[in-house]
Amino acid sequence: MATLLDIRKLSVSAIEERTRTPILSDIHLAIEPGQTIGVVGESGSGKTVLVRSILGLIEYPLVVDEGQVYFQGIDLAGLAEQDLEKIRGRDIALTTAEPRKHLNPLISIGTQLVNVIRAHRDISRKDALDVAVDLLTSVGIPDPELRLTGYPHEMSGGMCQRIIIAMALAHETKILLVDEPTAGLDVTISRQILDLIQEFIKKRDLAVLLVSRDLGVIAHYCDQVAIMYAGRIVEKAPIANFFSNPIHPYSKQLLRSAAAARDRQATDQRMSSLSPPATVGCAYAPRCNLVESRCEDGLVDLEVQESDHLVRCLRHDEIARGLVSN
Amino acid sequence: MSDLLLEVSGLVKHFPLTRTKTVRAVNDVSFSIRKGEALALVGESGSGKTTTGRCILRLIEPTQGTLVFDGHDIGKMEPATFRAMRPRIQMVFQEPYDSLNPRMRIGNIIEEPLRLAGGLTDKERRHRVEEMIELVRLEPYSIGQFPHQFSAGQQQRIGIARALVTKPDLVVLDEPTSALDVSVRAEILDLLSDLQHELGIAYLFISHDLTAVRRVCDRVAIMYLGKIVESGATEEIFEKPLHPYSRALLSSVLYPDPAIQLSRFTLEGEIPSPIDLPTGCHLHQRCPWVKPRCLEAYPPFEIYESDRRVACYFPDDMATLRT
Repeated sequence: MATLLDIRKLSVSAIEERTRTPILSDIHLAIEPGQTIGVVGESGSGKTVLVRSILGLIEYPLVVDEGQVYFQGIDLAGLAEQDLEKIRGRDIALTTAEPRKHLNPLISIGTQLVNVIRAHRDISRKDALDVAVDLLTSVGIPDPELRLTGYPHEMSGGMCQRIIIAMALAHETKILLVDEPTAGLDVTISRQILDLIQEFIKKRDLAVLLVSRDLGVIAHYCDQVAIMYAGRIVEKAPIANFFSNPIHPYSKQLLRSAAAARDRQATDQRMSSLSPPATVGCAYAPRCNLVESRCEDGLVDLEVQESDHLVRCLRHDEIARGLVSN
Repeated sequence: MSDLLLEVSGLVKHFPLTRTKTVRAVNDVSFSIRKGEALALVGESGSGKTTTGRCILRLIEPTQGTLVFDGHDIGKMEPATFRAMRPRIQMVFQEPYDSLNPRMRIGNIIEEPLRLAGGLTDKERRHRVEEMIELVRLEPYSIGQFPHQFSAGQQQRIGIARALVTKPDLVVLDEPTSALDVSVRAEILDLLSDLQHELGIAYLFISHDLTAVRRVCDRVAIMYLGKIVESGATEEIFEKPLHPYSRALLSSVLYPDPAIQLSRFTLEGEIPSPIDLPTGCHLHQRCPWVKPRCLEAYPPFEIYESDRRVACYFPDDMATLRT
């Protein structure tokens, strides 16, 4: 059987007059049912573009240079817009970072949910409203009938996020793309939302791509992690492996920054400077303190460190064996 | 001479909404900051932490309560008299870019508070600005540049330099790192911590980010719906929270380590509206340990141990509870 979602060698650029700026390069990712892959990166690393390009939702000035996105063996890039629309929102759904912005402020919650339900199902408005009530109940919204007549501005950020999740799960969703589920939410509410998503993953055997900049979210809610830097995956590993044995100098720095926040005594080796990524050779080279001249020469490939632990670093072997450390 | 720098007592701030409705943002908040001490004011949105910070700087006028800064009653001062105090109390804002005038050069931005304070010559001011640039670890040539030429982390350094240029005794930091990426955040927190120790300034660090607070602050006050529910030394609160809300807040933090087990102690529902405050303890609708007494009256904010205060009828239950 074909892999549920298989991204192969995906590259996306931004075109501005005559120049092409790579936004995503050489992205390989595969997800199976019941699996949650976390994608981590800082602002501008290409996480959101990755999520949107899976659904074919990128527009000029962004263009796909090469690569395929296979959904159950079908190349989504090769589909006509009308065929893609049948998959989008039904088989593959997206929840966004700023839920309130993605709800229409002028339309009631009920009508918005009904529209989503009827987009892929041939049922009456009245029946769809019943489905909407069930959906709101399933995402833990109290008094669902009352809420259906309400508008987004009457709801809290956490409530809006629950409604967006309800919309994403309105159909027989197989793949859920979750973009920054906790951005802008308070910590106690964040936990509620993450637990809700996890409950659905278990109940429905969903495949999830969870984008977050918060390594705490990744550590506790994902099976695998892909670390992105300047549009490339620089390290990909099962969660336990990654957190106990990160290899890429960028991953190590990221973990140190995060750990230092937790432990006041932790020695936090500070980044010397935050130079922008390099455009030739390893993108991390200008910030890396293990840099060698060969790092700046040509492209660095994602190589296997051990079975399913991949690293894009020329010195990954030396680092793994503890011969050098940053 | 006491070592108290700021004493806030009975602070209340209500925003009238309509004739009958009022947003009760801050309800009887009292705390103090010693000289050179970093106090964190922690809470979620709607807890009143930012309003409290703004009242201290008189950016908004408190409805009630007294504010005593280094022996002066700044709450009752005439605006003109208070302006003379302002160089001693400064603020760093949440959005680094939005808080810098895009048309001013960095040198002028940092110099402005000195100019407003008066009393220094052009040369002395310029010298002080150069000192600040170095102190926050920016390049000397930054002086002639504009805010958009800097990254978010650098912009926040500029905001910090502007706050420190008048050599204040107290800096109110309103969510100084929440708009920043992880690695930049760590850098700014280190800078703030170093500066506090080097210069002996006191901080009121307003944040929802508990991990940031743990790194920088000596003491923590946790707010919920306009009231401080618990306060004490940072490590003691992290090790042994006494208020159910503090405990829920602390156990919601996701540490970047899959080996640390997630605490199952979470709260149901959301923070109630500050327009219709719950009767009794503000947390009673969400608290898993609610008892009949909690519905009757708001628990007093009592001393539990020397420097530890908690507003809960049953702090011992929480102290003995296992995770």
